[in-house]
Amino acid sequence: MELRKYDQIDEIVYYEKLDNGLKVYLIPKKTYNKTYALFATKYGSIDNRFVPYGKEEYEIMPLGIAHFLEHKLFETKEGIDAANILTNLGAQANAYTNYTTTAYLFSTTDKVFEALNVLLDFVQEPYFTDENVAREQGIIEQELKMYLDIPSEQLRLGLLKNMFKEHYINQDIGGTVESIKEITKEKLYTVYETFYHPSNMVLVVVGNFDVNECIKTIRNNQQNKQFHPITNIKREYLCEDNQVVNSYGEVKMDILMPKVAVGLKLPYEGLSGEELLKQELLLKILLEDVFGTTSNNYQEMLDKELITRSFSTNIFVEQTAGFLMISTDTLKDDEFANYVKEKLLSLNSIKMSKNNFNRYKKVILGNFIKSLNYLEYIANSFIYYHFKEVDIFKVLDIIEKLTYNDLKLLEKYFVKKAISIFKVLPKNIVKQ
Amino acid sequence: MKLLTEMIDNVKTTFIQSNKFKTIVIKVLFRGKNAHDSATQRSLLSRLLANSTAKYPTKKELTNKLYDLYEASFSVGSSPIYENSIVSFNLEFVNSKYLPDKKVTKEAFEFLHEAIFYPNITKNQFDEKVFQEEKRLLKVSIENIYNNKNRYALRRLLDHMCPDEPSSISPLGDLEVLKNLTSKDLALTYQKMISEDEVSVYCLGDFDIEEMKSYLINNLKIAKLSSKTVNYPLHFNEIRKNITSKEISEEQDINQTKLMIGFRTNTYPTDKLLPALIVFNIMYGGLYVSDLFQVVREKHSLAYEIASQVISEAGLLIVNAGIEKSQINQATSLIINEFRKYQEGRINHELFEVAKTNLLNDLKELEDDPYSIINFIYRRHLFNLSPNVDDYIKQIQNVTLEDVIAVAKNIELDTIYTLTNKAGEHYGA
Repeated sequence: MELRKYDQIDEIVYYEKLDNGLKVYLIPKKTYNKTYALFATKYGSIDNRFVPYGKEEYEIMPLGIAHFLEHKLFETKEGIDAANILTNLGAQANAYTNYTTTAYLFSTTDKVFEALNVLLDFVQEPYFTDENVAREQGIIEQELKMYLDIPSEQLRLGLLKNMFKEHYINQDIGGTVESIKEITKEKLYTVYETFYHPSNMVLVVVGNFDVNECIKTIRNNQQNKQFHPITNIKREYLCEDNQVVNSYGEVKMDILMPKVAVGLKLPYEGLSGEELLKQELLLKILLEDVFGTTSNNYQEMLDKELITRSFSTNIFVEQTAGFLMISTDTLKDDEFANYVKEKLLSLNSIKMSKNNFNRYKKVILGNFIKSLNYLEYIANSFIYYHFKEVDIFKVLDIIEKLTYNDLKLLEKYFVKKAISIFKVLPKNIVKQ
Repeated sequence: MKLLTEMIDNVKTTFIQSNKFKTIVIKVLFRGKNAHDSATQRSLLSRLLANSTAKYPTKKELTNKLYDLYEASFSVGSSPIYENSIVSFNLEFVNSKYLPDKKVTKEAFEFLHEAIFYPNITKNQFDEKVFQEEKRLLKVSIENIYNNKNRYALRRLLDHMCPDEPSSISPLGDLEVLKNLTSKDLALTYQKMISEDEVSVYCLGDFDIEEMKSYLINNLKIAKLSSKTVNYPLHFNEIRKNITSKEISEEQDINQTKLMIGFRTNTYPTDKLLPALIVFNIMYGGLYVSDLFQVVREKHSLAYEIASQVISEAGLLIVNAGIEKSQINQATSLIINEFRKYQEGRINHELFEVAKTNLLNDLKELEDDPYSIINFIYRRHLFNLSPNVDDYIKQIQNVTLEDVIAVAKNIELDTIYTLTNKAGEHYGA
């Protein structure tokens, strides 16, 4: 095992790459009661077009299959739900799927290594049948319908469909009620064989456990399993420039106040690693300066009643797609959209003060250190940064190295063709 | 973790020393009355106090100050515990151990002093502009409960089930009450809170107690806080038996039906059987392995979301599920059948042990989150129960199967509420 020390923030990490390619990171925290383990594959809802293991040609999978697979892996050969086995050990299990990652996790204060074996086993021992696939369709259909009634989800999805033509980011992570009906056990196995090889996965354990015992448990568990040789996974993304599909769109729901989102699509530029992270951090600083609670614009939008407490700015930056989203609930939907659009376009020439730039750097730094109180944050961010090829505990260095002149790099993104507006409007106009 | 409670200048102050966190958390809590009008007043007041002070009148100036404290987090919130409304000032800042700038702690306490004692009030009224802004924003937040179908359905269940009890008072506030509030009214609400509420202070983090005391005395100026005590009831205390249950259905243009079932527990926070009620709830609908999840979701595929929760001070057990409209009856009878099994003493022994193990795990995990620790201890202090997590753990361990049956026999079905889509209409994918 390799020991990595980060003195400035008082953190240590043990690292080992197993023979089968699995990367293991252990972060011991003796003062905590719990241990949190996260087993993740670099495979999410946008990885829908790839060459299946053992084949030559690209194939396309039904939308939502990554999320469906996440549900289904919990079922063991014995017909027992792995979450129940973990629960029986006193551990709490969960899993999530996002655009780029599927992760399985548990937290516990006892029997860490037993739970760890269960986690590794259920994720690495798929068991799909026609019957259990059909049953899951009913459950996921209800999950998707739940999202159909959540206005903020529909706002985000509508905006993404407005901005992206064919990149899978424009689809709901869970797919659609129709697409999940096309999922079969054969397709699940295909996806599984392709993306769940240990060399495409990472295991992070953070909390109160003995490091040597832990790595021994993991090594033993993995030595007993057979995997096919390590191969390079071929995936294709339909990467896009920053031209949006529609500059405007809307949908009606049973709500009282309109929701509006203004999106800015980022062009695909092939950025990765620290460069990509740097872009994300700079955008964060920029949006803070333009729309943050310390900005004059924020106060002006409040004074003009353009926004409510629901106002938020979001930055999404991945290797194959990226966008900004600025949204609020408001009765002045057009005014808000125009105001934000105008401010975004003005950023083709950035006029932030150096003072503000340094202050926001300090904010990002403080925020990052505060988050390290939470083991969940450490483990999940670890994975997030890892799949972006960045070491989480080096984020501090990267923040410190940002310079005022770097902001210039962003100016080219703020152009008219990259902007789109989407609204969720009330079905019935309510008297105010 | 070390716990010490003492009176400092007549204010009950609790120090929680723990070296696991990289931040220090300070909470100052004001305990006042939760009633129809005061809930709205205190909800608005907490927003006014969180976003403006005399020295930092705008959100911009206030946030800039927090940024200078290395992005300290500051919030003011109001939340109910039965007939009590708790307004809490929360401040979290990075421990100066990790910072180049060692003055942060002192400045953080000075900021908190400013926020508590110098609101943006002149001539007995809040600054009118700030007041109107917060009033408008609160109005929108209350109206927007309608958009969150789970939350809306829960509020409607409580409206129908316990209209005359504090449990049905929305913690955000009431639109009718809000409409008539003035900046003068709110200045009075503030004065009343400062002079009449019962105050408690909590400090958590890696610090030296004497040093903390000096900050509390010299920089927070703790002596200015009220030393009064109050005695509003902390929980519902009636026994509701032989209830004729009612069914209520309302409509919206939605895709999924929200089912909410309300039960009366007849068991309250200080009762000996309360730990058994908590164990029962976990067995019934608090986990993956729970009956509701296994039967309604896994066996019958009727739902994605299904769970039960206990609001102990209100004496309520509530089951919620998201289902198809055509399956309301099937889901409801499954949910009630699973509950009846407990009353009949048909209990899964394995599930009983698992529920206890999981609760113990939860309680130990609670000690890894600074806010959870303080909330737990504050609640235990209020109810005059031991603040040590280990003591509560022992109580859970001592719960027997007979206790769970006894607690289930006390529970009565009260109201079944459904929020469904309008007949004959279909939406969505």
